[in-house]
Amino acid sequence: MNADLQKALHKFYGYDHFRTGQEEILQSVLENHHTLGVLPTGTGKSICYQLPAFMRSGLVIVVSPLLSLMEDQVKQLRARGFKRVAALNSFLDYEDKQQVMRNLQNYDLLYVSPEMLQNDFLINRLQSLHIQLFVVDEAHCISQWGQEFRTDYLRLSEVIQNLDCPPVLALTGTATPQVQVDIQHLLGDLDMDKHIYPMDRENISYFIREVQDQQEKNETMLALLRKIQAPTIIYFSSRNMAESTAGIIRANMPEMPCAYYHGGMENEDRILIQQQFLAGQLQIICCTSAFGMGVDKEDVRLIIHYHLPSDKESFIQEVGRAGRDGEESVSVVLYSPGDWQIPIHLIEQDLPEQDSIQQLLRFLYQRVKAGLLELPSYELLIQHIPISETQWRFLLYQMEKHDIVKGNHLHYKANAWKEFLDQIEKFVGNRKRHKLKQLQRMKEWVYTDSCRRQALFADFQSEVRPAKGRCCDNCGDTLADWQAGLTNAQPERTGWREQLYHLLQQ
Amino acid sequence: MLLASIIIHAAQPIRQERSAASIYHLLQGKRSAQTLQDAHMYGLTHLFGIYPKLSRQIFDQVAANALQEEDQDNKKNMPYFNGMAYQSQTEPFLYRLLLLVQLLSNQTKGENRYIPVTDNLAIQHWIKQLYRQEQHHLEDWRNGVYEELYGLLEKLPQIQAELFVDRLTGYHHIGLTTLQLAEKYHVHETDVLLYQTSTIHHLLQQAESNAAAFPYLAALMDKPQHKIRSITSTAQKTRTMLERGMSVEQIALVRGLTENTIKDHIVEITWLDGEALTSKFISDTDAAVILECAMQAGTNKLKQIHALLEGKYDYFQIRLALALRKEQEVKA
Repeated sequence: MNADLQKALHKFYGYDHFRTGQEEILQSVLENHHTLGVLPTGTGKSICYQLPAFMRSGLVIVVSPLLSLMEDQVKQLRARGFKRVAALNSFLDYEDKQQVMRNLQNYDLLYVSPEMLQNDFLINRLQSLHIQLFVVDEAHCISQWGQEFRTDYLRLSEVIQNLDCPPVLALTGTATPQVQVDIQHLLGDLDMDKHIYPMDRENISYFIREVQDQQEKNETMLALLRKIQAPTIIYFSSRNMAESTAGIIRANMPEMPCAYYHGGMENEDRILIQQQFLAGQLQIICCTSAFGMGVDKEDVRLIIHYHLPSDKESFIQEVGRAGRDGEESVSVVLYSPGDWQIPIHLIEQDLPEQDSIQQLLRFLYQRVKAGLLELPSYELLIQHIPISETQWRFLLYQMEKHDIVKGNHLHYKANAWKEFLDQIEKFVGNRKRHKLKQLQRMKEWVYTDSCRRQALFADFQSEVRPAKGRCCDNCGDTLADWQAGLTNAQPERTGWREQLYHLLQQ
Repeated sequence: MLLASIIIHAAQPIRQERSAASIYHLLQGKRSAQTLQDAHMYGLTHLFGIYPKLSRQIFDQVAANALQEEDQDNKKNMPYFNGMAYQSQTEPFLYRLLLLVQLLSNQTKGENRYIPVTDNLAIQHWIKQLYRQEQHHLEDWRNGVYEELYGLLEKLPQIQAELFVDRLTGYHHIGLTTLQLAEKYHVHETDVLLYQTSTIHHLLQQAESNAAAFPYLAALMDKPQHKIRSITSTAQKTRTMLERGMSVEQIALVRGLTENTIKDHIVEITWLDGEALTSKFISDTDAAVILECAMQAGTNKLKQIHALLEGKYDYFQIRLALALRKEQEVKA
């Protein structure tokens, strides 16, 4: 037990004990080893790099793909009185970005999105500073076998080299052994200390309810909510469904405060809804996968999947938001046979079509012939070719890899372009097949007859621990006698006079 | 629905002379010469910019229905608005107040860890400055803000007070979103925002006119010198050049604009500042003739006046005369 670390934990967070794995990872980081940490969701990965930022001098850089998570963390740190923290991402306008970049010496902790690290000015500025730790958060994004492949992540090894190879900490909540090997390799074959912790949670049990159609799904959901009456998150794959179902719940259960949350809402409203859920003013949230990251609510008891995500990793992460306090909590999947169409559609949307790739190359070729060697902007591009920004970034990276794009310019060689077209089509095909395979695995888990706990985690760890309480429907458990409690909220006040008095005079 | 009543209210003076879109631009606070002119010409300055985020789609829907049933609904009491005076400081004032209440409510319970209700850095900075200066008087601030809000909200219709207080965030109590307020009080989302704007205008008006009685709220207002004049900056440039003695043709040439645009600027300036610059373009007698004609025909339509006076005056002169009339009415 490291007394300094303990003291720092108490001083900065008010906790007396580390959660699983945190101390071991911190130990390795503070000895300046390259470190790979696989920690289950909900165990507080961020302490592993925040504490070094508080304790030692030098900048900690955190690469994170999740903009909302970044913003949340910065806000929470500031709320705790830790002001030497900033985030750099495409959300910021030009002025704010410049402001942060010019004042880097004033920060101890800097969150950046991977694409910001392609900015030469930023790299230049960073080179002049002492970087004590380079953190790759959600490190599984670097592997095409991870649930969320980000081509931007592939360039991180170059960035690490350019920064004179500071100690690297790669963190992820979910990584199969294959992905772990990939992370280490793609970050530049670093010699890493590995700290892998099991992802299964002993206090969560798993249930699946098969229904025939949407109406039956709604009825099953309402019956469940009436019976359980506990802080609940319900996941949907579409914003519209999250909104309309929240309406159904409110109409049927007016006594249970419920709201929806998704990425299309105004930032201000998102903060309010999140905070209301934490404060117990809301007990049920209907949301898309945008909700949950950075929401540190300990007593979420029930996670309902109205729609399933397209891979087990995402599912494990979403379910992992339940029962962080260690109390018994439950995952219920409501599924009807038609549900599989949605994720298939999403997978198709994520990757560029063969047609669009060909159109894109033809368009670029026309420009080369006309002597326009400069790379067109995305805004110009979408007027001619129907691709999403994600797809464009993906293709851009691939073109750079094949030397079709250098710096900001196109290089034309007939052979190279033809070869690129062949390879990229093959690559996209592989990606799609891989994603469909992931989906297939999710599907097999739904249809399995054996223990759901074993089936869910067997890919990720050699041994799955037995459940503390209930295990799963396939093991013969039921929810019949399960009782959970609501989050205590402040009593509701009637009338504006009483409310105003309460806010400012009590 | 409040938005519908407001549209009908605005449509009455404008009558058939201007399109429905002009009402949209008015409510939205479009800073164009035409919209500013409409606001002045039809006596609707109080509605200028009371709903900056109004979507065209919602406006069109509500306006289509409202203008059909015009007769029924127009006797409703209109909430207080003063858009021309307050539109630029409505939002800063509101968010300063929200953040201040959050700070005072948490601070008195010794809670320092909370997520601010607004992301706006300028607002956060403003309140931080206030906190630095006043940190030893927060008790007074808490009581003062409470007393002032209580007194002023009591003068408002209950719905406005309820909507306003339920939006406040404080210690272990989080304010409601617009949608949640709309559902709780069974009003349309757009109306939640309109009532809120009205409440803020009311607070601003009281604090401004009686700063001695409401010192705490008055301290949250912009200082007078920061107030933005409601003239567009491009018209301001034209004014400066006119004052230097340049002609319309010269200004148009130098600025690379059409002469008609420069004339728009002159009309806009006239609406706000009266005859200071107009004598060069129209004589008092001519203006009187045009106004007489407009009054007798009971119209503000340029085309109609132009025809009645048999084309003796051009449209620019007619617009100037109409702008001057406003000035004279105010003086009288």
